[in-house]
Amino acid sequence: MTMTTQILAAIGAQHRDGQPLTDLLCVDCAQSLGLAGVGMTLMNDAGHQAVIGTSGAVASRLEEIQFDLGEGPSLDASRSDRTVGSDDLGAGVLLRWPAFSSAALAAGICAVTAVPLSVGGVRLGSLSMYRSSPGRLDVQQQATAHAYRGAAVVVLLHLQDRIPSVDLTRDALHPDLGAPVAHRAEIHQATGFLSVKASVGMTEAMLLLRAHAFAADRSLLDVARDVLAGRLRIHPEESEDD
Amino acid sequence: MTSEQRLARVFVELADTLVDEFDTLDFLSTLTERSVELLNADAAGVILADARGVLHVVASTSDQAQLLELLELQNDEGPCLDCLQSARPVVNVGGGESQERWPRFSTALAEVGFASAHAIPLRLRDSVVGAMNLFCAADSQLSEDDVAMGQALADIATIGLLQERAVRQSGLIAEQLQTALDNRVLIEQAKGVLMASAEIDVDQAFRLMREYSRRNNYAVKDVARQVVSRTLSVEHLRRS
Repeated sequence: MTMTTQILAAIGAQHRDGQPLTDLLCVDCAQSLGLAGVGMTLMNDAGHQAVIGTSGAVASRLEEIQFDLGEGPSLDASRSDRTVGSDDLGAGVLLRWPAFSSAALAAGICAVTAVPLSVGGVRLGSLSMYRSSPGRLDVQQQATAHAYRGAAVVVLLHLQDRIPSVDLTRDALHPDLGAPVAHRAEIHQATGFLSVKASVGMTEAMLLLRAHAFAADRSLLDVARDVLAGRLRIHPEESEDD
Repeated sequence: MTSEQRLARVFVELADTLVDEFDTLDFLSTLTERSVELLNADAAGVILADARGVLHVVASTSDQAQLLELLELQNDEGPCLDCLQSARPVVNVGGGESQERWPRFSTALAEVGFASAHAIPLRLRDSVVGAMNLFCAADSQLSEDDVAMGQALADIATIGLLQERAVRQSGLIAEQLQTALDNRVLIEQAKGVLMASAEIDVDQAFRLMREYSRRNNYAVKDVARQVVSRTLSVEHLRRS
């Protein structure tokens, strides 16, 4: 049995109703590699779309914040379809992910390795492994991380393949994937809303939301809700001169 | 080159399915051509079952071989079909027995100039995905070694085929997942556009798109795409 098959067998045996396989995989990965947290995300070409599995609160927070900031190792791993990471998030002057790094350090995370989840060139997301002390994964750990990456792809395809065929025409997602995506629904609504109010495209509207959330030190979801409720008006800087 | 070296080279050729431009038909043509060379046959062909179990002639080294295989499928008799059913090689069936088991096939075989036909299953463990036919001008017998070599070639080809199918299937699921994700985002953005343009709430926004899509027989995702690109206005959604 390969390591990937062993992982799948182990999480399959623990699987009960109500606990997604994706969470079980993250917990299992964190335990076997002795990590502070593991998070699994779903992405498309537009970027980070949902946190579909975590080993706990720390990983959950660090994945959400990457979406809010629009930067971080999970995003870069999926975008580039390569393993990315940092052995010491606190070191160096020119940081690759300045905002993410300070959030990670504040949460007690000093190192991270993010691997892409993809199938034949189709990028599906990432699996990120967070560590509480600086240092790199050794060769054995890298092999294990690679096996978890394989298992994560199998879990994703398995979930998506289990949708009844009648639903396929409706672009269905498995509930374990669809629910985390729906969690972000208001952010996308607010993007559409703001694009009309500020007369900008969707990409720029999302950037405006992000910039406001970052400057106000608030979550993107809270800002989105305020925009939709009409409690908050965001204008592009250029239009203030008009 | 010794026969072992030739065999090893053929195995590598058949195992090399991890190429970018893998083509099932080319791959099976290679299998039939090499089998003809290594087993001293004169023609060969492959019959494959599709996902619904329907049989198709997918590769042949000659028109005669193709004709005979099509004939097997049409008349529902022949060594290839017996091989598919039993999942075992059907070889060295003599003229008399052949005439008795497959009368129409045997007559056609002689008509196109062959004296014997053999079939080897394409199988992996319990699943039989097809069979390879070998046709010989002489009334030849395959030795035990020949059958073993033919089966080995068929086995490695089957692994290649199933692997390619699995990869293709995974790719399709992955693309479908991406599309579902893209459309979810698009629909939410469209709701926001309508909320801001018409001062309506989120449920009303969705209802507006859904009812328009039903009346005009469009998919909601396509309506959403047009709303987001501003080619479909609130007024238009309400009117038509």
